[in-house]
Amino acid sequence: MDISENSRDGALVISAAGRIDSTTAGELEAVLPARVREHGAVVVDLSGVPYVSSAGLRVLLIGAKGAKAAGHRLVITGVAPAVHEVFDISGFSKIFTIEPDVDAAIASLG
Amino acid sequence: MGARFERSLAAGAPGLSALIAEIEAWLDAAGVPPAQAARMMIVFDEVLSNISKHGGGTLSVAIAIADRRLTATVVDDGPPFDPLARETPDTDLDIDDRAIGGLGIHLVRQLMDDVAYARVDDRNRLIFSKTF
Repeated sequence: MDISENSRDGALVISAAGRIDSTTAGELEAVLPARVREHGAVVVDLSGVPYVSSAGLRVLLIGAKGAKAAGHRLVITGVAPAVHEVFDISGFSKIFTIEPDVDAAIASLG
Repeated sequence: MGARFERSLAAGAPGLSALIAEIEAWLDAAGVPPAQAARMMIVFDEVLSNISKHGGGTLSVAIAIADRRLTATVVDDGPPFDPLARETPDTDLDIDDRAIGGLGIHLVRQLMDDVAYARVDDRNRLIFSKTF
């Protein structure tokens, strides 16, 4: 998995590319929990992610809990069909703010 | 015409990532549409990583595709472990009450048409299938 970060309009955008599964989730866990503590607004762009298994859901939930505890915002974008299905099955669609793309995510944070 | 994939791996060995990549490439070559293959790969990751965590010894994977139906058999010679015996997590809880983890086998059940566990000849055997 490749992870890149850039700042945009006051938000930190973390873009992931590649599968987020048991063998790669640790790479996101090394970044996301710290960033949601440091930044008031974080966008996780999953448009390059074909699928997320429970190991990845675990890291996203850690991120969401961390953001909430800090009073910060976390928005997820670029959700592929298989990722959306897994979010629905796991109830994550209800607990995450999900926007179609980074522009919409930035707008929602404005 | 059917297609078949078979591999063995020492459980807990660092070969899991390579095996996952190999299965993904094979599903693509077998003509499984990417969006369907993604759902199947989630299931393979859940099942294989579970065995790596709980098992020991050797695991083997056999996958057959015929008439747009995938059937996978995963066998390991670790201690008895029935993943289907786990409780289904409550996915209606709000963020504060959600436990971190425990979702894997729930995804397997929901993403596959059929999942069955048996302890056979001192081995765990999980069979799952999906028409795509």
